[in-house]
Amino acid sequence: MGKIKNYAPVFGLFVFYLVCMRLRQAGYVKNYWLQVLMFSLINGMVTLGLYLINGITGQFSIGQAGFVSVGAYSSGVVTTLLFNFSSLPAYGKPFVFLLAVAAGGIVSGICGYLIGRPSLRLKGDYLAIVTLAFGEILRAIIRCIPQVGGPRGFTSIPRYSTLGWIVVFFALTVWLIRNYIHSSFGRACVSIREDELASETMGIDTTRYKVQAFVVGATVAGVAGALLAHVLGFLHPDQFNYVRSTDFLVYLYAGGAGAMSGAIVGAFILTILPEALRFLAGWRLVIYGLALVLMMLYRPTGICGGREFPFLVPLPRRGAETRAALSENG
Amino acid sequence: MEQFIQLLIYGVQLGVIYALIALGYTMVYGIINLINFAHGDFVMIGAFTAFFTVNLAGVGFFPAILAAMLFPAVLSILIERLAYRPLRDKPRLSALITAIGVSIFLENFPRMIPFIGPNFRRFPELIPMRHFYLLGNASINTIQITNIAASSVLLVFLIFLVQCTKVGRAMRAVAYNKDAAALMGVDVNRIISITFFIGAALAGAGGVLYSLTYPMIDVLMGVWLGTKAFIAAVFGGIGSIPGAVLGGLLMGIIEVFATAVYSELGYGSGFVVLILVLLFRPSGLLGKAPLDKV
Repeated sequence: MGKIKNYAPVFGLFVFYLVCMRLRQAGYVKNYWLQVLMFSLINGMVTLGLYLINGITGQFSIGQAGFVSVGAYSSGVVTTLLFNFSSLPAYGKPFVFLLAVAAGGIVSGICGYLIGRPSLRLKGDYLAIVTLAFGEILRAIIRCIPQVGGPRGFTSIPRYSTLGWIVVFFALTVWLIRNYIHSSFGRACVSIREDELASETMGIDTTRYKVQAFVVGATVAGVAGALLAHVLGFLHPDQFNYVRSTDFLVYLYAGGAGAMSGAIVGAFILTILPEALRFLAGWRLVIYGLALVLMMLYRPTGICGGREFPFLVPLPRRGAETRAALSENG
Repeated sequence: MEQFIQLLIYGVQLGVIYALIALGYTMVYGIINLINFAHGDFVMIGAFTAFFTVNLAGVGFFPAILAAMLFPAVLSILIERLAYRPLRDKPRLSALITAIGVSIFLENFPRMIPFIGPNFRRFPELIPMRHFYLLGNASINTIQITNIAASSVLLVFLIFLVQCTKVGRAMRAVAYNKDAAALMGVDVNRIISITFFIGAALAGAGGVLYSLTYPMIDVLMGVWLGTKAFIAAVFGGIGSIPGAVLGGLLMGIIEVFATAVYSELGYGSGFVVLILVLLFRPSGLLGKAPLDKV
């Protein structure tokens, strides 16, 4: 029984994907909305990575767009500069694409380590500022590399990401983050969030867990960036400025930073909302700003308010200890 | 040497503007621990206020800069009262997200008003341009002199206000310990409003001085200016007034010199220096290290 329940969300996502494709074939859903959906899934992934850093570990990173750009650019390098994607045989493309996505994740993860290692000694706002500055430095570096277009932008990246690929990676991310949170790593991170000093006295290597969460968050953002690069086909350093980073932050806190569902719901609603308001032309951003302020005033816990979708909470492991612990706590 | 002096003049000219804007960040942060993301937009509002007072009323530099200081200042009090005050006892991140929302609103609302709109406007020439030669080819012009003089006057006034008046003492007390200050009979809400007022007024003045130097203004001009000023505030030690000034000046000078070396380098250089400073001296150049309470 538990097994089936565990796989229900995967199955649901699969059905959702089939319905979307079917609707598109029938002409009910335009490619435009399909693309908006892809952006929501990608933003959802990035926000989940941020949730791990900000929501679970209690650090305050506002440079997430920097990691997205690292992933996007390094995957673009793999598909355009290392391999000539369009001249590859059809059976080779998925492998090269996967390689590109992996490269995006790995390079971004390495960057995450290089930044996290020295800067996670800082706390609160200072960490926020370092991550923000880091994102801006990356942008300045990208502008100085002519091979990836520099300030003109990186063109002719194959538009290979499809909804199918993105759904698969999204599902993997949700799975990864969920299991991470409910593992001993996740519990260590939560204890750091609640009280860093106390968890250190309990023998938790706080620096190690903070850096680890930071690297996982960065890797997820990098993978999302790789997918994004192959949706857009064009990258520009200014796409990843600090305003973009605050977007992810807003997704997370507007959705509710107390739960994974918050990250996902926030990213979806706030990606779709500006698109749905497009008929208002420039007023949509005015409304977006106002809505954000009003929501924080009247519902500061976010849309989800810390509640979790049931499928995001793993079933208790079948073990005598767990059951005992459960019955003890009522 | 000539080139060095010339670049130094440009750097100081830019630096004093950063310093003026950075002061608002640092004061608000010092008093309520909020990174006021909307602060950069007061720069833009100040520049536009000056633009309209000059174009509609035909006044000179001094009335224009006065108007450009007053209007954003009043607006910032209003914003503090409506958007930030109700969240003061909530987690700090709520206030931060609210500040982002306010900033999005302030950037996009003027864009939609027909007489402002999204286009660049040419800022009127308020100070007649003249060059004075200092040393060989190095020159200083009237706008640079105005910028440096006006900022110095404002700065001296601010230091006088903070160090020598009753309001200033109350501000320092609230920044040090809000609850204790309230117990001593300081009206904390009023002091916070005054802090916002002064911060936004300085930002408005900064906006006018910036527009004198680079006379194209648009609704998004405050975003980058605000970010850099914020970085300058952190660089000097956020919460510290002399720190903001030092940070602003250094930031301006470093940026100008880096741009002179390679044009794409200018933007990133300030951030590199910032990271180095934060890694080796986390509280900034002149900031006090926060105490860890156990």
